[in-house]
Amino acid sequence: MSTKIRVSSAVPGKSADFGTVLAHQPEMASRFADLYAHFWQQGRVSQRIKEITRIRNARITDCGF
Amino acid sequence: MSWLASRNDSPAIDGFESVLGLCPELLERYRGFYGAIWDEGVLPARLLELCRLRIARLNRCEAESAIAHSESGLTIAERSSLSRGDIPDSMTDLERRVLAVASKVPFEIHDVGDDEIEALCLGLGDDGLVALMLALPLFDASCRLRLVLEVAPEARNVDPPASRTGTLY
Repeated sequence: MSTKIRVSSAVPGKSADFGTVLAHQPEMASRFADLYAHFWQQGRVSQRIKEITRIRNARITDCGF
Repeated sequence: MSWLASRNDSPAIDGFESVLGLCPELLERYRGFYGAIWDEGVLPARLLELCRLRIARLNRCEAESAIAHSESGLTIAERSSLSRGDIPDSMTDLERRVLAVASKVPFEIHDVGDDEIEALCLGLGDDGLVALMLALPLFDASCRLRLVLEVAPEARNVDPPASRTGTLY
């Protein structure tokens, strides 16, 4: 897995990061953000459990980002 | 029928939408995101369908594989080839390159190389590449959701598999 920038920023004047790259597809990015935010805002699963699983998933996927 | 049904007194729960419907707010947001992949038209339905079926096969997800996007333009022979785990001979060069990356998403994501991404950038543009990179993990997640929730396979011809305003198959 490369750590070099593979896709350009879609936001003029800003460097490529997760948000500015997704901005190439604003509608999809908005829908993704809506879904992802809901995961964190809803209270059926505790924040602690969600954070543990997020970190565990990142570790297993070996995602340093 | 999902095992979730046995934990509830509610009517029989079958199908992906009714399983996710146990969490209605989540269902609507999932529909919004997954539907946008198909509704936006950034990528051809054929290309999305190829990737969806390839990832379903790699995950051995029968529930995902049982769905067929009838208007995607895939032929019966191409669909059969994908269901056997093969890459159809009829693929264009770009479709082959996309499928090569899609094939690595479920279990070999670190093996996606810079050269592969550069080739996709040339073929799809940055906009198309970002759309693809949103779609592929979502196809993978869809399989995993169906597998872990034990959503029963149900053969369906649909157009498309999801829409922001339609049924989520």
